[in-house]
Amino acid sequence: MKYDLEKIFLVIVFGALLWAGAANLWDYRLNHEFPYGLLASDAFQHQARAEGIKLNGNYRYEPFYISGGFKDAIGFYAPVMYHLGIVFSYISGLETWDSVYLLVFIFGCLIAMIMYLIIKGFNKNVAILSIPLAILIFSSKSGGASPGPYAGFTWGVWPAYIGNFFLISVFWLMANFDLKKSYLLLAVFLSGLALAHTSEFVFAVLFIAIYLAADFFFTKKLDLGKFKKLAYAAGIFAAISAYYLVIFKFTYIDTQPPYSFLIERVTPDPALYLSGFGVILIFIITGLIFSLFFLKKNFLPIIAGMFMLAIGAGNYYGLGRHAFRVRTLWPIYLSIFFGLTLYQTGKFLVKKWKTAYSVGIGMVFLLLFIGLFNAPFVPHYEKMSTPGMMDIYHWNILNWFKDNTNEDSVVYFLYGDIYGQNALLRNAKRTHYLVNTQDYTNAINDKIIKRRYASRLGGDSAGVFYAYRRGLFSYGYHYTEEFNSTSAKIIDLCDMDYYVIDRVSRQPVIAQYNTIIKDVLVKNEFIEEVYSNEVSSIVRNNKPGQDCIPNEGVRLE
Amino acid sequence: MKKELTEKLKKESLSILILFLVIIIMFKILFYKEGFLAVLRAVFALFWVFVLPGFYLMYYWHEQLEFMVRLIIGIAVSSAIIGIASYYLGLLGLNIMYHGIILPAACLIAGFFIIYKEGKEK
Repeated sequence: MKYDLEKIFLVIVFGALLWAGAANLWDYRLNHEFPYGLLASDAFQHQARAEGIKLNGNYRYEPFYISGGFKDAIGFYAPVMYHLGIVFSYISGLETWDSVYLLVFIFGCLIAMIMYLIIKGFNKNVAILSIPLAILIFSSKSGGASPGPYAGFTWGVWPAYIGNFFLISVFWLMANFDLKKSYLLLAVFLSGLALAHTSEFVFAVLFIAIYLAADFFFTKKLDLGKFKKLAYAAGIFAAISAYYLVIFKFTYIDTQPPYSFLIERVTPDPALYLSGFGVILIFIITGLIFSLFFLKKNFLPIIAGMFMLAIGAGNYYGLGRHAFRVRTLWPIYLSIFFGLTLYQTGKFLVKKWKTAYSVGIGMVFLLLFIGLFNAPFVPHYEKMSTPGMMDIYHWNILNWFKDNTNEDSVVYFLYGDIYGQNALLRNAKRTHYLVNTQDYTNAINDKIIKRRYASRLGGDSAGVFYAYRRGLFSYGYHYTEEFNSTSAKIIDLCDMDYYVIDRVSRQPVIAQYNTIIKDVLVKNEFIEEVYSNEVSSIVRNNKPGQDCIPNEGVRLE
Repeated sequence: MKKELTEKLKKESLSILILFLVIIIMFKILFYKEGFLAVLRAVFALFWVFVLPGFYLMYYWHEQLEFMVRLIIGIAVSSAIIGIASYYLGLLGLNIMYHGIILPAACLIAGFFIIYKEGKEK
């Protein structure tokens, strides 16, 4: 029976990537009762927004509980990831917290596959030898104090992976720009990029400029046909993307601080430092040097790797978090240099090199990188399996509100261990406040139940200031106009409709204090507990505005 | 030439079917705690939304690009077209619950039209 070694190898690599990325983390299940394996607020931000768009049926506006209660805040986040996740959710039957997350992992694997195609255009054996390095996008070690690349998935840097998927598609397209009507594909990929994660769009434009310069340098010809194609692509791109780009301009661009040159050597966010490659760095540096001799033969795969190395090093010239995010994909972008070193070394030893040799060596490195066997100073994947920040009890608390309260109800969250990752509170699907931890602990130390606590209005305020549209090119900002640019408020507990009161905490004194507050509240005949489980209670105030705690508070013995 | 294209279409469609079965097996192994029907539905959804639309649209370049390239790049094409179209369709008032049926089907129809035109021109 005839078989294609290359294709079998690619299926194995794809399976290994999915195993390392998703299967282990997710306890080998696709369906979960609650958002599973999410480890930070940003992940819940995307999960809650996807669910909100699904419920609304469109992304005209932000779900109001994400925008501080405002129902006219424009849907501002790049929409492609959410729409793909929701469409996939409906057809697959998976909840959005699984469907969106699964797509992020699959797109991460596909970035590796497209890089394979790009490198294959250079040399098939180099491509086979390169791709195993991609496993390291799921490694937990950064080579420094930062969390490793895998945290990019678990902490919620999701749109960047979708963006990089389209970015690398642009790289592939430029390597195949001679295709008839290639401008159609370029327009589609650029539009996908702009509407998935707009910062990578800037990288794409820069890369195209570098590609044209390199093309001219190596061919000594100025191909006007390529410029014509670019013009067509730009026109189609503008037509497709204009609507969203206007929103992007009046939200992100107008509300974010301007670019400032800043060197950031380290980050608390997911990253990968060159030292994180361990001894593999020698292969990469050697391959980088080798590649200089092949630039004239086929420059695009090589300059793609060099380009992303330079972008990843952008933390030294002001790119900040955008640079660190690219670094988490360095195992893919720099893989060509790794593969080139292996191939050149192999060819030096074995003159008649066969694909089977590449596959064999590729399998060895694949097993090494997934950690089946360890070697000193060789980075490898380490299994992570965790339900994440959420648990079924808190999930049931959050989901209770959707079916049991009016849409205009306001919920107040007392301290809870997981509530610091406050985007998860948006799953209550109600306007909500969270108590300020410092003010809360001060009250505990002062042994007083206060009527008013410093609190924070829940929502995605710092992003785009709850922008709303006045006209096609005219926007207002609720955050600055009505909130004076702060979501911090002093909240009178007696004004709230509902309270979520955790009775379990890693800090027993806080759990005790929570319980005392609950007891004080329910002493009022118009306040009652309406739901309870092992970790938390929901208490309803049937007369918000009426005195429920004395103005001077309640002193504790 | 038209017969050649038909044969190619049949052969590649069979390859897609084999790949579909392979991915089902892969998913069932990786997510072994999940029931078979859930796995089948998830893989079907991946193929329906991401693989098939782009693959058949990429037939426009079937003479210049090999099967594997059109398959993988076709996923990027599907993702971009369906993601963007879903956003705009939603803004225009069509609830997103219908997009998963309408958009891949529309892409497939466009893809088959491309194949028909390709066959006719030859």
